[in-house]
Amino acid sequence: MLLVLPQFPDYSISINLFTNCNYKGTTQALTSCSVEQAPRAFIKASNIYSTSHLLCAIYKSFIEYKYNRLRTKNLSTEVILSLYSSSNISEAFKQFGVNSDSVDTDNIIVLQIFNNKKSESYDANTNAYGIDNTLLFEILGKNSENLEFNDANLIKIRDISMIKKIYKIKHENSTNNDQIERCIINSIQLRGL
Amino acid sequence: MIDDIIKGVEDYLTPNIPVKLISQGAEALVFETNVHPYNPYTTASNASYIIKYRPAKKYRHPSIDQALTKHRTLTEGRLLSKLSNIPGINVPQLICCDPYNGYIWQAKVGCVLPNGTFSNLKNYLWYQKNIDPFDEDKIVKVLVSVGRQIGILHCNDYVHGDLTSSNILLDNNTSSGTNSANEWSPYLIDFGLSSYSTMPEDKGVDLYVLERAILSTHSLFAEKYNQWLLQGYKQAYCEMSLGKDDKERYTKLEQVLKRFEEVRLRGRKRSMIG
Repeated sequence: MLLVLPQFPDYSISINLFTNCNYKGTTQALTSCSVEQAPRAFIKASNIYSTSHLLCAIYKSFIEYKYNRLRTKNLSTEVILSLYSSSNISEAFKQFGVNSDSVDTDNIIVLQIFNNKKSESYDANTNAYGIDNTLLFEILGKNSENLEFNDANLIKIRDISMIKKIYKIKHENSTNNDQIERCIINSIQLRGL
Repeated sequence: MIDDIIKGVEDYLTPNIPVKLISQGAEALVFETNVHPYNPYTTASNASYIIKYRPAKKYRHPSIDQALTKHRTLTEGRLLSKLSNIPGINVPQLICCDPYNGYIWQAKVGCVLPNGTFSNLKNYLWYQKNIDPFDEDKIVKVLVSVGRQIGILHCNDYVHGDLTSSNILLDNNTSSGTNSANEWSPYLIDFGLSSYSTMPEDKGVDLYVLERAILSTHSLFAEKYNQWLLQGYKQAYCEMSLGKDDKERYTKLEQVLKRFEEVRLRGRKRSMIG
Protein backbone atom coordinates (compact mmCIF):
# COMPACT_ATOMS: atom_id res chain seq x y z
CA MET A 1 0.00 0.00 0.00
CA LEU A 2 1.27 3.42 -0.86
CA LEU A 3 0.01 6.30 1.18
CA VAL A 4 0.56 10.01 1.67
CA LEU A 5 -0.32 11.79 4.90
CA PRO A 6 -2.34 14.92 4.10
CA GLN A 7 -0.12 17.07 6.27
CA PHE A 8 3.15 15.82 4.74
CA PRO A 9 2.48 15.63 1.01
CA ASP A 10 6.18 15.51 0.13
CA TYR A 11 6.52 11.97 1.42
CA SER A 12 5.11 8.67 0.27
CA ILE A 13 4.87 5.80 2.69
CA SER A 14 4.89 2.25 1.48
CA ILE A 15 3.56 -0.36 3.91
CA ASN A 16 3.58 -4.03 3.02
CA LEU A 17 2.46 -6.90 5.15
CA PHE A 18 4.12 -10.27 4.63
CA THR A 19 3.00 -13.55 6.13
CA ASN A 20 4.62 -16.98 6.18
CA CYS A 21 8.01 -15.41 6.34
CA ASN A 22 10.82 -17.74 7.07
CA TYR A 23 13.16 -15.17 8.41
CA LYS A 24 16.63 -16.50 9.05
CA GLY A 25 18.74 -13.51 8.25
CA THR A 26 20.75 -11.14 10.35
CA THR A 27 20.25 -7.49 11.08
CA GLN A 28 22.96 -6.83 8.56
CA ALA A 29 21.00 -8.53 5.82
CA LEU A 30 18.06 -6.34 6.65
CA THR A 31 20.01 -3.14 6.40
CA SER A 32 21.62 -4.25 3.17
CA CYS A 33 18.30 -4.27 1.35
CA SER A 34 17.66 -0.68 2.28
CA VAL A 35 18.74 2.12 0.06
CA GLU A 36 20.06 5.35 1.34
CA GLN A 37 17.27 7.57 0.09
CA ALA A 38 14.55 5.27 1.37
CA PRO A 39 15.59 3.06 4.26
CA ARG A 40 13.36 0.15 5.12
CA ALA A 41 12.06 -0.67 8.55
CA PHE A 42 11.05 -4.22 9.44
CA ILE A 43 8.31 -4.41 12.02
CA LYS A 44 6.87 -7.39 13.84
CA ALA A 45 3.35 -7.45 12.51
CA SER A 46 1.88 -9.42 15.41
CA ASN A 47 2.53 -6.46 17.71
CA ILE A 48 0.51 -4.08 15.56
CA TYR A 49 -3.06 -3.81 16.77
CA SER A 50 -4.65 -1.95 13.86
CA THR A 51 -3.91 0.30 10.92
CA SER A 52 -4.49 3.33 13.16
CA HIS A 53 -1.87 2.02 15.55
CA LEU A 54 0.94 1.99 12.99
CA LEU A 55 -0.22 5.10 11.14
CA CYS A 56 -0.40 7.06 14.36
CA ALA A 57 3.25 6.19 15.08
CA ILE A 58 4.18 7.25 11.56
CA TYR A 59 2.43 10.59 12.03
CA LYS A 60 4.23 11.10 15.31
CA SER A 61 7.58 10.38 13.63
CA PHE A 62 6.85 12.99 11.00
CA ILE A 63 6.05 15.57 13.67
CA GLU A 64 9.30 14.79 15.48
CA TYR A 65 11.19 14.93 12.20
CA LYS A 66 9.78 18.19 11.00
CA TYR A 67 9.42 20.19 14.21
CA ASN A 68 11.87 18.67 16.65
CA ARG A 69 14.58 16.15 15.87
CA LEU A 70 14.91 12.49 15.08
CA ARG A 71 16.35 10.36 17.84
CA THR A 72 17.18 7.50 15.51
CA LYS A 73 18.95 7.35 12.18
CA ASN A 74 16.08 7.98 9.84
CA LEU A 75 12.31 8.31 9.54
CA SER A 76 11.66 4.61 9.07
CA THR A 77 13.50 3.60 12.21
CA GLU A 78 11.94 6.50 14.09
CA VAL A 79 8.58 4.83 13.49
CA ILE A 80 9.77 1.78 15.45
CA LEU A 81 10.77 4.00 18.34
CA SER A 82 7.47 5.87 18.16
CA LEU A 83 5.58 2.60 18.37
CA TYR A 84 7.09 1.72 21.70
CA SER A 85 5.65 2.98 24.93
CA SER A 86 8.89 4.39 26.32
CA SER A 87 11.88 6.24 24.87
CA ASN A 88 14.24 3.31 25.24
CA ILE A 89 15.55 2.78 21.71
CA SER A 90 17.05 -0.67 22.14
CA GLU A 91 13.94 -1.96 23.90
CA ALA A 92 11.80 -0.54 21.12
CA PHE A 93 13.80 -2.40 18.51
CA LYS A 94 13.61 -5.59 20.53
CA GLN A 95 9.83 -5.38 20.82
CA PHE A 96 8.86 -4.06 17.42
CA GLY A 97 11.87 -4.56 15.18
CA VAL A 98 12.90 -7.71 13.38
CA ASN A 99 16.42 -8.80 14.27
CA SER A 100 18.58 -11.85 14.68
CA ASP A 101 16.65 -12.91 17.79
CA SER A 102 13.29 -12.92 16.09
CA VAL A 103 13.50 -16.41 14.62
CA ASP A 104 9.84 -17.06 15.16
CA THR A 105 8.65 -13.97 13.34
CA ASP A 106 6.24 -15.17 10.70
CA ASN A 107 4.56 -11.89 9.97
CA ILE A 108 6.56 -8.86 9.04
CA ILE A 109 5.58 -5.37 8.00
CA VAL A 110 8.03 -3.71 5.66
CA LEU A 111 7.85 0.03 5.86
CA GLN A 112 9.54 2.47 3.58
CA ILE A 113 9.28 6.24 3.48
CA PHE A 114 10.17 8.09 0.30
CA ASN A 115 10.83 11.72 -0.19
CA ASN A 116 8.92 12.34 -3.40
CA LYS A 117 11.29 15.07 -4.44
CA LYS A 118 14.53 13.20 -3.84
CA SER A 119 14.06 9.58 -4.75
CA GLU A 120 14.26 9.51 -8.53
CA SER A 121 14.98 5.82 -8.36
CA TYR A 122 11.50 5.13 -7.05
CA ASP A 123 8.80 4.64 -9.59
CA ALA A 124 5.34 4.78 -8.08
CA ASN A 125 3.81 3.17 -11.14
CA THR A 126 5.71 -0.11 -11.01
CA ASN A 127 4.82 -1.31 -7.56
CA ALA A 128 4.60 -0.27 -3.97
CA TYR A 129 7.84 -1.66 -2.70
CA GLY A 130 10.29 -0.30 -5.19
CA ILE A 131 13.92 -1.11 -4.85
CA ASP A 132 15.92 -4.31 -4.31
CA ASN A 133 12.98 -6.64 -4.26
CA THR A 134 14.93 -9.78 -5.04
CA LEU A 135 17.05 -9.27 -1.96
CA LEU A 136 13.94 -8.54 0.08
CA PHE A 137 12.31 -11.83 -0.89
CA GLU A 138 15.53 -13.69 -0.23
CA ILE A 139 15.47 -12.42 3.33
CA LEU A 140 11.78 -12.95 3.90
CA GLY A 141 11.80 -16.43 2.43
CA LYS A 142 10.42 -17.81 -0.81
CA ASN A 143 7.05 -18.74 0.66
CA SER A 144 6.33 -15.31 2.01
CA GLU A 145 3.07 -13.87 0.90
CA ASN A 146 2.33 -10.20 0.43
CA LEU A 147 -1.02 -9.28 1.99
CA GLU A 148 -2.76 -5.97 1.90
CA PHE A 149 -2.09 -3.85 4.97
CA ASN A 150 -5.57 -3.44 6.42
CA ASP A 151 -7.47 -4.05 9.64
CA ALA A 152 -8.98 -7.34 8.48
CA ASN A 153 -5.57 -8.88 7.87
CA LEU A 154 -4.06 -7.45 11.04
CA ILE A 155 -6.84 -8.92 13.17
CA LYS A 156 -5.84 -12.39 12.00
CA ILE A 157 -2.25 -12.10 13.11
CA ARG A 158 -2.18 -9.70 16.04
CA ASP A 159 -1.18 -10.93 19.48
CA ILE A 160 -3.48 -9.01 21.80
CA SER A 161 -2.03 -10.26 25.07
CA MET A 162 1.47 -9.18 23.96
CA ILE A 163 0.20 -5.78 22.82
CA LYS A 164 -1.55 -5.29 26.17
CA LYS A 165 1.69 -6.15 27.92
CA ILE A 166 3.74 -3.72 25.87
CA TYR A 167 1.34 -0.84 26.44
CA LYS A 168 0.58 -1.84 30.03
CA ILE A 169 -3.14 -1.96 29.36
CA LYS A 170 -4.88 -3.34 32.38
CA HIS A 171 -7.72 -5.80 32.12
CA GLU A 172 -10.50 -3.73 33.55
CA ASN A 173 -10.29 -0.92 31.04
CA SER A 174 -9.90 -3.04 27.96
CA THR A 175 -13.42 -4.32 27.66
CA ASN A 176 -13.87 -3.36 24.05
CA ASN A 177 -11.66 -3.02 21.02
CA ASP A 178 -12.05 0.72 20.69
CA GLN A 179 -10.77 1.20 24.20
CA ILE A 180 -7.59 -0.79 23.52
CA GLU A 181 -6.87 1.19 20.39
CA ARG A 182 -7.56 4.39 22.28
CA CYS A 183 -5.07 3.48 25.01
CA ILE A 184 -2.42 2.64 22.42
CA ILE A 185 -2.90 5.89 20.52
CA ASN A 186 -2.85 7.93 23.73
CA SER A 187 0.40 6.40 24.86
CA ILE A 188 2.09 6.77 21.46
CA GLN A 189 1.06 10.39 21.11
CA LEU A 190 2.06 11.50 24.59
CA ARG A 191 5.15 9.47 25.28
CA GLY A 192 8.61 10.91 25.72
CA LEU A 193 7.66 14.54 25.42
CA MET B 1 -4.42 39.68 13.59
CA ILE B 2 -6.84 36.77 13.59
CA ASP B 3 -6.48 36.45 9.82
CA ASP B 4 -2.72 36.07 10.19
CA ILE B 5 -3.19 33.29 12.72
CA ILE B 6 -5.66 31.45 10.50
CA LYS B 7 -3.26 31.84 7.60
CA GLY B 8 -0.54 30.26 9.75
CA VAL B 9 -2.78 27.34 10.60
CA GLU B 10 -3.62 26.80 6.94
CA ASP B 11 0.06 26.85 6.05
CA TYR B 12 0.84 24.34 8.78
CA LEU B 13 -1.93 21.96 7.77
CA THR B 14 -1.37 22.40 4.01
CA PRO B 15 -4.28 22.79 1.58
CA ASN B 16 -4.98 19.05 1.93
CA ILE B 17 -6.70 19.70 5.25
CA PRO B 18 -9.39 22.36 4.88
CA VAL B 19 -10.42 23.87 8.20
CA LYS B 20 -13.29 25.92 9.52
CA LEU B 21 -12.92 28.13 12.58
CA ILE B 22 -15.66 27.26 15.03
CA SER B 23 -14.62 28.86 18.27
CA GLN B 24 -12.11 31.25 19.69
CA GLY B 25 -10.99 31.70 23.26
CA ALA B 26 -8.30 33.68 25.03
CA GLU B 27 -5.74 30.95 24.67
CA ALA B 28 -6.77 28.79 21.78
CA LEU B 29 -8.64 28.60 18.50
CA VAL B 30 -10.81 25.64 17.66
CA PHE B 31 -11.11 24.39 14.10
CA GLU B 32 -13.09 21.65 12.51
CA THR B 33 -12.12 19.47 9.58
CA ASN B 34 -13.30 16.32 7.87
CA VAL B 35 -9.83 14.97 7.09
CA HIS B 36 -8.23 12.46 9.44
CA PRO B 37 -4.58 13.34 10.07
CA TYR B 38 -3.18 9.89 9.43
CA ASN B 39 -5.73 7.19 8.81
CA PRO B 40 -7.40 7.43 5.40
CA TYR B 41 -9.49 4.33 6.18
CA THR B 42 -11.53 6.05 8.85
CA THR B 43 -12.37 9.08 6.77
CA ALA B 44 -16.07 8.47 6.49
CA SER B 45 -18.03 11.05 4.55
CA ASN B 46 -19.62 12.53 7.67
CA ALA B 47 -16.66 12.16 10.02
CA SER B 48 -15.43 15.29 11.67
CA TYR B 49 -12.37 16.16 13.72
CA ILE B 50 -11.55 18.99 16.05
CA ILE B 51 -8.23 20.78 15.99
CA LYS B 52 -7.38 22.93 18.98
CA TYR B 53 -4.57 25.35 18.31
CA ARG B 54 -2.70 27.53 20.78
CA PRO B 55 -1.18 30.38 18.79
CA ALA B 56 2.07 32.00 19.80
CA LYS B 57 1.63 35.10 21.93
CA LYS B 58 3.62 37.96 20.50
CA TYR B 59 4.11 39.68 23.85
CA ARG B 60 6.03 36.77 25.35
CA HIS B 61 9.66 35.98 24.75
CA PRO B 62 9.73 33.36 21.95
CA SER B 63 11.52 30.69 23.98
CA ILE B 64 9.24 31.14 26.97
CA ASP B 65 6.28 31.13 24.64
CA GLN B 66 7.35 27.86 23.08
CA ALA B 67 7.91 26.19 26.43
CA LEU B 68 4.53 27.34 27.71
CA THR B 69 2.67 26.25 24.59
CA LYS B 70 4.32 22.85 24.70
CA HIS B 71 3.61 22.42 28.38
CA ARG B 72 -0.05 23.41 28.13
CA THR B 73 -0.73 21.34 25.06
CA LEU B 74 0.85 18.31 26.67
CA THR B 75 -0.97 18.79 29.96
CA GLU B 76 -4.26 18.87 28.13
CA GLY B 77 -3.35 15.81 26.09
CA ARG B 78 -2.29 13.88 29.18
CA LEU B 79 -5.52 14.73 30.96
CA LEU B 80 -7.57 13.56 28.00
CA SER B 81 -5.63 10.33 28.07
CA LYS B 82 -5.94 9.83 31.83
CA LEU B 83 -9.66 10.58 31.85
CA SER B 84 -10.40 8.27 28.94
CA ASN B 85 -9.10 5.43 31.12
CA ILE B 86 -11.57 6.12 33.91
CA PRO B 87 -14.74 4.09 33.46
CA GLY B 88 -17.86 6.24 33.30
CA ILE B 89 -16.21 9.44 32.17
CA ASN B 90 -16.93 10.63 28.64
CA VAL B 91 -14.23 12.72 27.01
CA PRO B 92 -13.44 13.14 23.33
CA GLN B 93 -10.83 10.79 21.98
CA LEU B 94 -7.34 12.17 21.46
CA ILE B 95 -6.23 11.57 17.88
CA CYS B 96 -2.82 13.14 17.88
CA CYS B 97 -0.92 16.10 19.20
CA ASP B 98 1.92 18.32 18.14
CA PRO B 99 3.10 20.07 21.30
CA TYR B 100 5.92 21.86 19.46
CA ASN B 101 3.38 23.91 17.55
CA GLY B 102 0.48 23.73 19.98
CA TYR B 103 -1.92 21.52 18.08
CA ILE B 104 -4.24 18.89 19.53
CA TRP B 105 -6.55 16.78 17.37
CA GLN B 106 -9.63 15.25 18.93
CA ALA B 107 -12.60 13.31 17.73
CA LYS B 108 -15.66 15.47 17.39
CA VAL B 109 -18.56 14.94 19.76
CA GLY B 110 -21.94 16.59 19.74
CA CYS B 111 -24.29 17.39 16.92
CA VAL B 112 -26.60 20.13 15.70
CA LEU B 113 -29.90 20.54 17.54
CA PRO B 114 -33.13 20.81 15.54
CA ASN B 115 -33.09 24.58 16.05
CA GLY B 116 -29.72 24.86 14.34
CA THR B 117 -27.52 25.45 17.36
CA PHE B 118 -24.73 23.19 18.55
CA SER B 119 -25.58 20.62 21.20
CA ASN B 120 -23.76 21.95 24.24
CA LEU B 121 -25.58 22.05 27.54
CA LYS B 122 -26.30 25.77 27.30
CA ASN B 123 -27.92 25.56 23.88
CA TYR B 124 -29.75 22.40 24.79
CA LEU B 125 -31.36 23.97 27.85
CA TRP B 126 -32.46 26.96 25.80
CA TYR B 127 -33.76 24.77 23.04
CA GLN B 128 -35.63 22.40 25.35
CA LYS B 129 -37.13 25.27 27.31
CA ASN B 130 -38.45 26.87 24.14
CA ILE B 131 -40.17 23.81 22.75
CA ASP B 132 -41.77 22.68 26.00
CA PRO B 133 -40.87 24.31 29.30
CA PHE B 134 -43.02 21.84 31.18
CA ASP B 135 -41.42 18.70 29.84
CA GLU B 136 -39.17 18.45 32.82
CA ASP B 137 -38.40 14.77 32.33
CA LYS B 138 -35.95 15.36 29.53
CA ILE B 139 -34.17 18.20 31.26
CA VAL B 140 -33.97 16.34 34.57
CA LYS B 141 -32.46 13.32 32.87
CA VAL B 142 -29.81 15.39 31.13
CA LEU B 143 -28.91 17.52 34.14
CA VAL B 144 -28.67 14.54 36.49
CA SER B 145 -26.38 12.75 34.04
CA VAL B 146 -24.24 15.87 33.72
CA GLY B 147 -24.02 16.08 37.50
CA ARG B 148 -22.97 12.45 37.60
CA GLN B 149 -20.16 13.12 35.12
CA ILE B 150 -18.80 15.88 37.31
CA GLY B 151 -19.22 13.67 40.37
CA ILE B 152 -17.19 10.85 38.82
CA LEU B 153 -14.55 13.34 37.74
CA HIS B 154 -14.22 14.74 41.25
CA CYS B 155 -14.32 11.31 42.87
CA ASN B 156 -11.22 10.46 40.89
CA ASP B 157 -9.61 13.66 42.13
CA TYR B 158 -9.56 15.55 38.88
CA VAL B 159 -10.92 19.07 38.64
CA HIS B 160 -12.05 20.67 35.42
CA GLY B 161 -11.12 24.26 36.18
CA ASP B 162 -13.45 25.90 33.67
CA LEU B 163 -16.75 24.17 34.14
CA THR B 164 -19.33 26.12 32.18
CA SER B 165 -22.43 24.99 30.36
CA SER B 166 -20.71 25.47 27.01
CA ASN B 167 -17.87 23.18 28.04
CA ILE B 168 -20.31 20.33 28.49
CA LEU B 169 -21.41 18.75 25.23
CA LEU B 170 -24.33 16.44 24.71
CA ASP B 171 -23.97 13.64 22.23
CA ASN B 172 -26.76 11.36 21.13
CA ASN B 173 -24.91 8.17 20.39
CA THR B 174 -27.35 6.97 17.80
CA SER B 175 -24.53 5.32 15.90
CA SER B 176 -23.65 2.97 18.75
CA GLY B 177 -27.19 1.63 18.68
CA THR B 178 -27.46 1.28 22.43
CA ASN B 179 -29.16 4.61 22.97
CA SER B 180 -32.44 5.75 21.60
CA ALA B 181 -32.56 9.01 19.70
CA ASN B 182 -33.58 11.03 22.72
CA GLU B 183 -30.89 9.71 24.98
CA TRP B 184 -28.13 12.24 25.53
CA SER B 185 -24.77 11.41 27.02
CA PRO B 186 -22.75 14.30 28.38
CA TYR B 187 -19.12 14.82 27.37
CA LEU B 188 -16.73 17.13 29.16
CA ILE B 189 -14.42 19.16 26.95
CA ASP B 190 -11.69 21.80 27.23
CA PHE B 191 -9.23 20.58 29.83
CA GLY B 192 -6.89 23.51 29.34
CA LEU B 193 -7.30 24.59 32.96
CA SER B 194 -7.79 21.16 34.50
CA SER B 195 -5.57 19.53 37.01
CA TYR B 196 -5.27 16.76 39.52
CA SER B 197 -6.35 17.88 42.96
CA THR B 198 -7.51 16.25 46.15
CA MET B 199 -8.56 19.54 47.72
CA PRO B 200 -12.26 20.12 48.43
CA GLU B 201 -11.59 23.79 47.69
CA ASP B 202 -10.88 23.14 43.99
CA LYS B 203 -13.91 20.91 43.62
CA GLY B 204 -16.10 23.44 45.40
CA VAL B 205 -14.88 26.13 43.02
CA ASP B 206 -15.70 23.87 40.06
CA LEU B 207 -19.27 23.49 41.30
CA TYR B 208 -19.52 27.19 42.02
CA VAL B 209 -18.35 28.18 38.54
CA LEU B 210 -20.95 25.89 36.99
CA GLU B 211 -23.66 27.22 39.26
CA ARG B 212 -22.82 30.77 38.24
CA ALA B 213 -22.78 29.80 34.57
CA ILE B 214 -26.26 28.29 34.87
CA LEU B 215 -27.47 31.31 36.85
CA SER B 216 -26.34 33.77 34.21
CA THR B 217 -27.59 31.89 31.16
CA HIS B 218 -30.77 30.30 32.46
CA SER B 219 -31.69 32.57 35.33
CA LEU B 220 -35.40 31.77 35.33
CA PHE B 221 -34.96 28.09 36.09
CA ALA B 222 -31.48 28.16 37.54
CA GLU B 223 -32.48 27.09 41.01
CA LYS B 224 -34.12 23.90 39.80
CA TYR B 225 -31.39 23.19 37.28
CA ASN B 226 -28.72 23.44 39.92
CA GLN B 227 -30.69 21.19 42.24
CA TRP B 228 -30.80 18.47 39.58
CA LEU B 229 -27.11 18.85 38.81
CA LEU B 230 -26.29 18.41 42.48
CA GLN B 231 -28.60 15.43 42.67
CA GLY B 232 -26.56 13.69 39.97
CA TYR B 233 -23.35 14.79 41.60
CA LYS B 234 -24.32 13.20 44.90
CA GLN B 235 -25.45 10.04 43.15
CA ALA B 236 -22.04 9.63 41.55
CA TYR B 237 -20.29 10.01 44.89
CA CYS B 238 -22.52 7.41 46.49
CA GLU B 239 -22.01 4.95 43.66
CA MET B 240 -18.27 5.44 43.52
CA SER B 241 -17.85 4.72 47.20
CA LEU B 242 -19.95 1.56 47.27
CA GLY B 243 -18.41 -1.05 49.47
CA LYS B 244 -16.82 1.45 51.79
CA ASP B 245 -18.52 1.92 55.12
CA ASP B 246 -21.10 4.64 55.55
CA LYS B 247 -18.87 6.99 57.42
CA GLU B 248 -16.23 7.04 54.74
CA ARG B 249 -18.82 7.22 52.03
CA TYR B 250 -20.23 10.55 53.02
CA THR B 251 -17.31 12.45 54.49
CA LYS B 252 -15.69 13.26 51.13
CA LEU B 253 -18.96 14.42 49.63
CA GLU B 254 -19.81 16.43 52.72
CA GLN B 255 -16.42 18.12 52.69
CA VAL B 256 -16.91 19.24 49.10
CA LEU B 257 -20.48 20.42 49.63
CA LYS B 258 -19.53 22.31 52.74
CA ARG B 259 -16.71 24.01 50.90
CA PHE B 260 -19.06 24.75 48.02
CA GLU B 261 -21.32 26.67 50.45
CA GLU B 262 -18.33 28.64 51.66
CA VAL B 263 -17.18 29.46 48.13
CA ARG B 264 -20.67 30.61 47.28
CA LEU B 265 -20.52 33.14 50.12
CA ARG B 266 -17.11 34.54 49.35
CA GLY B 267 -16.58 34.05 45.60
CA ARG B 268 -14.13 31.75 43.95
CA LYS B 269 -10.88 33.54 44.67
CA ARG B 270 -9.84 32.50 48.13
CA SER B 271 -6.53 34.29 47.85
CA MET B 272 -8.32 37.63 47.43
CA ILE B 273 -9.21 37.82 51.07
CA GLY B 274 -6.78 38.28 53.91
